[in-house]
Amino acid sequence: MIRLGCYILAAVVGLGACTPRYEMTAPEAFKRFDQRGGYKAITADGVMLKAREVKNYPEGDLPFWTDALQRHLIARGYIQKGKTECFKTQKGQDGCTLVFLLPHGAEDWAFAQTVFVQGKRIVLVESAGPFDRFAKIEPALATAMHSFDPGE
Amino acid sequence: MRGLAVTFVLVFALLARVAVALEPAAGMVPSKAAVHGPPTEHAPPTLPAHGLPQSATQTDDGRLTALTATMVVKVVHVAEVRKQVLAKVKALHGHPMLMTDAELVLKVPPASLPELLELLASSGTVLGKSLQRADLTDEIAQLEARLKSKREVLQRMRGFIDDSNVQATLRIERTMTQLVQELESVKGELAVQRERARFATVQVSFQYFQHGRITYVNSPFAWLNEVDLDVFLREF
Repeated sequence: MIRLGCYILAAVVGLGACTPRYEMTAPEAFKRFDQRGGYKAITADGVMLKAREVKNYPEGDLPFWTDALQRHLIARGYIQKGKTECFKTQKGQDGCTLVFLLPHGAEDWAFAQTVFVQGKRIVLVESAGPFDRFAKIEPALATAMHSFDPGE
Repeated sequence: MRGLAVTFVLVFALLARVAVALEPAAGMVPSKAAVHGPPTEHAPPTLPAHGLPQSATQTDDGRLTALTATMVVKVVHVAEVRKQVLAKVKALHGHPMLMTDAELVLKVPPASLPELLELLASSGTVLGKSLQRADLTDEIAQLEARLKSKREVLQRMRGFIDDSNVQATLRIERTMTQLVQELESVKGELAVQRERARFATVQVSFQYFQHGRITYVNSPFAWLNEVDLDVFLREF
């Protein structure tokens, strides 16, 4: 019985170790609600922020995936707002942010993607909201991206 | 003898009408003189004495054109930008034609068009723009020629009324009434075309959703197919 408990504990600890620990000092307007290692936050007026990751396969660097993402979304009809903004986080991680506009229902929405490439994984920080609400928080969000830590 | 004269006038009027109708087919090239010709009797009061519209869009070779610019621009505060734009249009001696929450249709003198477009572009993110130029020179010249021709016929017919009997007078009046109607119609068309040349039209949309559509495009990189607003909202 004790052995079974140890197995379960080891499995839980193991799973926990596999879950990336994203950290970010988001703008004050965002309230984080997923504390299990993932990152989800939302503002009172519905602008959403989320971090996730995908496999870096075929293995590419940041310019490769930024270019692929930009081309794909533009081909789908998304309109890129401004230029791709590349930066370095406080921990020295390179990242690039692309903001797109698209129609959604009876509104225009902004959909932003910040890409970090870290070895075998690509970490994406996605945010979205109706254009006017997103535009108000966009500068603070861009600043907050510098504090993002994609974890190990 | 008088009856013969009346018949002659009516036949002449008929021939004149046919000739006018065949103008383009006969290869009548609109001359510069026709465009720059003397003012018509009932020209709109806003038109200058030489018959050309004020601030008309005129190219270097003297051709009259209608300019239409369209712009889709996303701004954060639509109401404020709309207020600024309308103030600018007023300052540029233009006027709004349509005002809604999502759209503006504005008329400004062609020379002021770049200034207005610059203001619009600086007020937000430009998602689309186009500029269209339509040549109105031929159309205006043809309308002016038709107007001149009809006026001449009308003038000649007036001269015959005094010498005609009752029956002939009635026939002349019927023809004249018809001619006046045609004359007014041509004058109306001419006024519309001159107005098109006098003001450039600017159509501004503050909404992209009216213009855009998202389509599905398959990427060879699997994860890119999951980068989508609907997927994001579903999984949030």
